[in-house]
Amino acid sequence: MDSFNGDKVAGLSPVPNVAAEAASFAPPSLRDCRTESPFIQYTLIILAWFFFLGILGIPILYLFTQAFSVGISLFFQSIFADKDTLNSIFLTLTIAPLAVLLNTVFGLNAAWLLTRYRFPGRTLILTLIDLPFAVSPVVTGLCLVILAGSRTWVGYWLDRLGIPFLNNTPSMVMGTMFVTLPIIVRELIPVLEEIGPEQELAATSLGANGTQMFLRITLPNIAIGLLYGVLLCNARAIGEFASVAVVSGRIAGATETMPLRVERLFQEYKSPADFALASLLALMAFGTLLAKGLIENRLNYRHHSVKKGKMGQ
Amino acid sequence: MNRLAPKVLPGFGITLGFTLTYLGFLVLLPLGALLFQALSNNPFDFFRSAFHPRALSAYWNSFSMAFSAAVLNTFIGLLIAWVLVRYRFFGRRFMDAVIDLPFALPTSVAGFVYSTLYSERGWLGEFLGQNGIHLTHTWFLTVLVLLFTGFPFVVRTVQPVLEELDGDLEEAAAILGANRFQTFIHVIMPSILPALITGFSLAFARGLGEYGSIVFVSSNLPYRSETGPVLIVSRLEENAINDASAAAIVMLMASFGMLLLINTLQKRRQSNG
Amino acid sequence: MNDYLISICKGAMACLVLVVGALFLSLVASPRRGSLELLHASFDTSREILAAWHQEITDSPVSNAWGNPNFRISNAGSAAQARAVRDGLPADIASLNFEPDWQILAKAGLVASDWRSRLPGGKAPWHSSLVLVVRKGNPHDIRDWEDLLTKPVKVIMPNPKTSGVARLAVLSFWEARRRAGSPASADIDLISLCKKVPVFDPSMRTCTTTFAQKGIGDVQITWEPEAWLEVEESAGKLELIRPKSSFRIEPAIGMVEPVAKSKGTILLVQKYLEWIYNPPAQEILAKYHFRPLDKNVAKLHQDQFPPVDWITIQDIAGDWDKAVEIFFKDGGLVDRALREAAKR
Repeated sequence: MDSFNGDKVAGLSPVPNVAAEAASFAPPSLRDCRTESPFIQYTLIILAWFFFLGILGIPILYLFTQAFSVGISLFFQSIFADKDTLNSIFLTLTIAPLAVLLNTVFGLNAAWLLTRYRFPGRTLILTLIDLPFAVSPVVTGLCLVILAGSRTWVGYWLDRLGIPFLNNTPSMVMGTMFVTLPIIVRELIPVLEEIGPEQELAATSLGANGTQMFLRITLPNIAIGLLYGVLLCNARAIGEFASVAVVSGRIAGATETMPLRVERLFQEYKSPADFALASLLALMAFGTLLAKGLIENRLNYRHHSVKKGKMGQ
Repeated sequence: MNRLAPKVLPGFGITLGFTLTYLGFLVLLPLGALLFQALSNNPFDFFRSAFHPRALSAYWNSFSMAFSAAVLNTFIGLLIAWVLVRYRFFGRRFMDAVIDLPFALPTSVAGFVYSTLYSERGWLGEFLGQNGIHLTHTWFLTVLVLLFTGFPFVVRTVQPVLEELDGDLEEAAAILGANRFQTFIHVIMPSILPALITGFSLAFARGLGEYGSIVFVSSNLPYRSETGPVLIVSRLEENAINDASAAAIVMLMASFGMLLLINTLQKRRQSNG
Repeated sequence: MNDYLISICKGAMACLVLVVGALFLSLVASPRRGSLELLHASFDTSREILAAWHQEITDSPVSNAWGNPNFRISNAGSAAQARAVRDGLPADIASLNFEPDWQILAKAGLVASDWRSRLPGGKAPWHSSLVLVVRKGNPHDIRDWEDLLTKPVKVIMPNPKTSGVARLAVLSFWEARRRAGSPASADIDLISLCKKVPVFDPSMRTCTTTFAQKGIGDVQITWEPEAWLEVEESAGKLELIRPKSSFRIEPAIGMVEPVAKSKGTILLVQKYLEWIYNPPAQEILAKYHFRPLDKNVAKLHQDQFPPVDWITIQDIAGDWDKAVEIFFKDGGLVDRALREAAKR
């Protein structure tokens, strides 16, 4: 390590006078040593835009222009005049909220369990929760088909009792639940960890029972994080394709969600209806992004990185 | 805190019961059915299905496509994260918000938009076609669409780390005479490397399991460009449940392996750093 | 400790109630089964014809006589549909265009193995032929099966592992080549054919999209109804070419007894299966370019349906089981052809 100019005097503490040193031979201002030359900056920015537009921007733009290529009225007509498309919208708006609701209840339970207590088997539960992220949605659908198919005794009893599962909404809901399972939990865990149990401990010691403590203390604290998680979960649930495609019966107008309907419209040459419905989905996605942005900026919520979400081992 | 000590906060029993039942019903039951089904045949048949030449080529296709896309995503994601965190420019907020779009958009939409866009009647397909480049059903286009679906993973993993990076280190390096490039390589990269690796693995895992977009964009030729998930669905449609479940288990193990790898890497990093 | 156990059980119960409750609640959005409803599970390219039939029934006085039933259609590749029905798709009627898929259902006790005997007259309500679709002007001068091999064309056909029509196309092609040569040369020709396929779509309909909409390939192997539809929609950009010989495609169609019994629709299904032989239904068939069984209707439209040198399974392999054994099972001819073709 080089010694500094003119600092060999009198055995001074080796901590340099940063400003002075910087001034003497480093770039003129302190701020500049953390930035690149403008040329590099502009190049990087342009490159970033290039990739962003090329990969994300242009396809989305294409989607919207194709959808509206025949005019706004036809756009709405192609969606809302088609009974089967309307049915698919209704189906999506039934399946997704149900999946989100259940995963929310689960998320609250699991996050609470994992952050407030220590017990043997905690890591195992965490691993199980992370599992759906590692499973391809196609495999999810396959598992359900195997589980409730004609070969297993589960399938046999479902058949005997006349309970519809496969090729019908329950299996689609279950598939969606599986795929979106970890989202809300992983959102809540860092939030609960950061807040810490102090307030809740205080409440219980003052005599509050479980429900009161939960409703008055915990819930308000995690409200924003919960909202955020619900938002993400909802977006993912609406857009789920592969697992639902495998378990649904492809019954036109009956078991097609919006993503499946888009595929069918595309296959049946029904342009611009296919683009129209797809752009509706894209609009919903943009809505989610907007809400996300609002929560992050106005409510100052910081979405914790994945790494932090993993609890300290 | 003693792990078996009585719990002070109420709700342990209920949450434990709920969580275990939910996980058991939703995660263990379906996966267990898959395992049970696949292993209920004799091991010889299972291995024959799992390592059938068509399956082997499917694994390879999945692996190579997802890997390429993830590598590209890592570089591009790093670039974008850097630009978003370090610079201020027109449209930065917009870019930051829209990055997450692939999370919220169904993969089937991504697939059919990409395949139409690059076909002869789409903007890019027409333009490229005039120059003699036809990208439909090519390996390249499949990797491109995987780039789309995996786009946010690296960016969103690296961004927070970049934001919280300690500026002092860079300043110290600069003072010691390093130029920006050297600073980047020796000071910044090591700090964000774990995040890069995590982001890469997430994008890779996502690419491995991708179905909705690939089935529109790729040529899905068995033994040639068929990927794992496409193979599984195809086997299911051929009524070959055993082959489907065998391939599914192999793909599962690959994903689990990746998950395990990330976890151990992170644990090692945490104990080292 | 006991308190813990009790509360754990409480939590577990709450979970089960919630989850099962939600799954049942989702049935709200499921296909309504209030009134009388018939679900017809069919192969992929039958969407239009079935919709037309159902519309005709609903518009005519027959519907009243039947109790105003509601009709639903499910479409998927033949093999996929067979699996779906076997796994409990509540279809009252099934129709598949590939015999072995039907036999799978028959073995599971869902349909009758000898479906022909259950139908009026003992014959299928229609049959159809394989055809080729080319670009305007037929630039490569395709006339028959061998041109697919000799001309430098890219061939579009569905995945023969999943699509019924694709498998029938394989059989047609193989037989045509066998007649021109020998079984061994036909095997080789099949491999050459597969080499010329740039993309295997899973179903007939996606194939049509690939060829007609995306403009990929020079020749598409398809069947009459689909080809006519394509050519009409293309407004002159596509042409239909008829090879001299083709497999005689007949749909296996019939009642799925267990489902019909449990839904109480047995009589309705029988009436449906009789109705499709009546002139109005046959007329609709001709309109959608299926070759009707009814001789009078067929005569009216005979310019649409030129004669074809029909190939049947007896010509090729004696019976379906042998055909599956030779061609379609894992490791059979099709599988080997795909593998060889992939080794470009």
